[in-house]
Amino acid sequence: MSPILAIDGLSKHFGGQAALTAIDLAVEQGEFIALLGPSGCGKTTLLRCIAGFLTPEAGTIRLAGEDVTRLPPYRRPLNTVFQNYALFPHMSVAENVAYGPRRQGVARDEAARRAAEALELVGLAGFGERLPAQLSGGQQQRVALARAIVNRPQLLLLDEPLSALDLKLRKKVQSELKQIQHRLGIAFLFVTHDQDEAMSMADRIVLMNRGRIEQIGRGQDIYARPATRFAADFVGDANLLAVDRRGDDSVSLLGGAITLPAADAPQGTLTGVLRPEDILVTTEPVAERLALPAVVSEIVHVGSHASVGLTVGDTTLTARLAPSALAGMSAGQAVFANIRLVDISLVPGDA
Amino acid sequence: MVSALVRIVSFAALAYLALPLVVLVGTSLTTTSFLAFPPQGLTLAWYGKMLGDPSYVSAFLISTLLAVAATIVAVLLAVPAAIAIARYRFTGRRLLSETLMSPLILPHVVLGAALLQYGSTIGLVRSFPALLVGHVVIIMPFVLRAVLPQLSDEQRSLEDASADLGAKPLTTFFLVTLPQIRSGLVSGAIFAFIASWINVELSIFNTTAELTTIPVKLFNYVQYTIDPTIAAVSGLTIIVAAVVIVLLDLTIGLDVLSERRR
Amino acid sequence: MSGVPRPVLLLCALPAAFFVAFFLAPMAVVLIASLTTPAGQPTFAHYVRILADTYHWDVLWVTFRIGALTTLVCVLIGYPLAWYLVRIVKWRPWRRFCVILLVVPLFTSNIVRSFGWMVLLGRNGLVNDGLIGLGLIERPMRFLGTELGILIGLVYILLPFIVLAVGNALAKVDPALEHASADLGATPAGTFRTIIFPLSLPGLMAGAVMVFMLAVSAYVTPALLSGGRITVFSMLIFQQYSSVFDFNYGGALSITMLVLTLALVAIAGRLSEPRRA
Repeated sequence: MSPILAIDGLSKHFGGQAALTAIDLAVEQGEFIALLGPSGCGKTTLLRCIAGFLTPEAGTIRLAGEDVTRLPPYRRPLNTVFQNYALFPHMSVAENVAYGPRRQGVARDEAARRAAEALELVGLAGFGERLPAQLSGGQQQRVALARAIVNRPQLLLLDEPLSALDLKLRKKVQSELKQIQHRLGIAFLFVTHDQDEAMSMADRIVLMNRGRIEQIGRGQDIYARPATRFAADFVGDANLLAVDRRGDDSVSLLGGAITLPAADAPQGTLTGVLRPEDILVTTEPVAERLALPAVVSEIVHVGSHASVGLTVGDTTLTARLAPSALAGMSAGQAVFANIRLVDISLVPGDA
Repeated sequence: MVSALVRIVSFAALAYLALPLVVLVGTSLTTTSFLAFPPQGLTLAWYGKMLGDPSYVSAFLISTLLAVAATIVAVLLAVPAAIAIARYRFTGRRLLSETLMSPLILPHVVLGAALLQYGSTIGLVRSFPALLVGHVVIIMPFVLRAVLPQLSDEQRSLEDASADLGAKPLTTFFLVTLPQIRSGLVSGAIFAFIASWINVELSIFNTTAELTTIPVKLFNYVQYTIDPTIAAVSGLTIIVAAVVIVLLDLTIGLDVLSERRR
Repeated sequence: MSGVPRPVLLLCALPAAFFVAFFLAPMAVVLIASLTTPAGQPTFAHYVRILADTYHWDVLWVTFRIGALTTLVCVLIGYPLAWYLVRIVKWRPWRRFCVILLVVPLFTSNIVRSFGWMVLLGRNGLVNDGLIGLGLIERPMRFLGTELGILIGLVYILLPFIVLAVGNALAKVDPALEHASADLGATPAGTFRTIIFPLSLPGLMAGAVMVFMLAVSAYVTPALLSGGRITVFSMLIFQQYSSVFDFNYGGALSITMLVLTLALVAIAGRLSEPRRA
């Protein structure tokens, strides 16, 4: 099966500033992809290139095999849910949703029927006569979704569609979106800067930074095996450890306390990545782990877990512990940080 | 294609807007004793003649004095009214604001006639105060319209904070409210001043040969005689207007038509 | 919501008193005068006289025809110009210059502006010279003293109102709405017809109403450009007060004009009313 969206070597500049550099991406039919990255990373620029609001300087964009790189937005068979919904304020909800079919030349009655159907799908049956301004933020978001799926596009672009909703509502809408996507079988390309949102919703995450793709993969894979220092730092929390090369086939970390084989590691400077939950903090060394003597520098309670600062030599590590594992622990206490060498990944870049 | 048509219409319209201004300033510089454009020769003699004529000078002075006085009174009346309308909910609030704004859409000839007729019953005709009250009525909406949007709700919390910190209402007004509405007040006052400065329809009912404003004097003059002095007077008002507008543009910014793109 | 709080009384006493004394009272005096004889007896005679006299009907017809044509021409020129300034001009200094060019006439007296056209539209004025030079006409055309001349002068004076009103409305249209429209398959022309134009319509109507009001009630421009050949309604009112001194009849004319313009504006407002929440 050919990908619904195929992007090759896409580059976009603003003035002399590179906004996107050599982007390659393929999205399969029915996939849920999250474009994740900090603000200014180029994820929205990429979305706007795909939608047709920006024309790239180099590269191609293919939709279902057809080159659409130079087509205007209104000739592209995809739809978008805009960040602030962009509902037409002078039209009723039903007219907003029927707008797409009407522009495709669908007769008024048929367009109204499809609009009603789409509104029912998003749980807004009976709201058709209202004006957008009379709806709550969550309801407006659903109208925007209904309007974008009513034409049954093969690809739906969503530009931070949940950013205007409060946390509770966002969680609810996340699962509804996922269900609707599943039911329609449309590929979703979802821009977000929220890693939890990306993790919980997407089949695959496209992690972007400074106009480039850092890593593409399933959320748990990026978390477990980050490809770059940025990926390690941006997705989840990480202890980033300075790495010294020792000849060609081994490296040392934590001032020589740890030595790792590095024959397979990338060239250039490296950083060691160790997740906080991979550090066991105990008063006695744990068998089958490397026990590093450490001193507790601080303990921060964050509800479901506690974050423990540890001083190992001249390095500070952060460990994540269940509250029960904290029993009797206090700042200044000498403990052991027990780690497994397999939990340390080596990624290119400076710590 | 459509875009080309829009451009053609726009350039024609801009030329149409500029033409009389250019022609007036141009003819005021002619050395001939009749209006000639393009001007034949260049001279400031007509400006000199205008400034040498005491009736023009006095009309200029009266116009200026009237506009300044009317603007001051209008500001003093409009600001308290604006605060009441923006800060309180009371019976008749809508009626009050609509009444205060209504001179904007009322034909000035009708209002001028009404003031003359009314004034003649209370002895307030053809005098500076008679001119003044009329001008205040028609220019107050400009001040009100400029100040009201600046008395926003966010600003209200600043006033509450000031009161909370122990400031009396008047202190709060001068230290907190006034600085917040200053830009609206300045632009409103400038528009009000100009509206008074250029008015004919209202003033004409209450002016006399001695007590006349510059637009009314011009109006009466133009209907009988036309010579380059008129062009010089016109030219001077155009130049004053242009200077005021450029100053406005530099201080509060007139680029009201730029798209608010993010 | 009940009554008027004390601070409001303090703040509004002076402005309200001023408006009662110098705005509402004069208007009331006019209204009363229009309904009484010079001796003070109530009468409808002045209104009957206006209604019965075909001359008044002619003047009214001319006045409103000129007002309507002025509004129409202002809309037809002003909308494209506003579009040009907001959407096409990218170079800010040029747009600034254009806005200044739009506002300078607003800041100069009607007299000055109309006088400019008196010079331009004269028998040997620049317009006739230009038209003859271009070979469009052989002999000078008559502008002064024609409705065309008044129209040219009024459109000139009122065009900025519509450009600023429409320009403001256009500048406020959220670009995201246009993107959404294109995204849903609307061509640029379709987006204009279904999104941008409807959203700019309130601004257009507000500008048009303003232009119409001012055109119908204009006195200076028609007086200067008519050369005494064409009479509009405001001239009739002025004559009654300045030379005939019939304040009762003049009052009836004033009230007639006021009611007619306000009625037309109210109708226009009703027709263009946006849907309310």
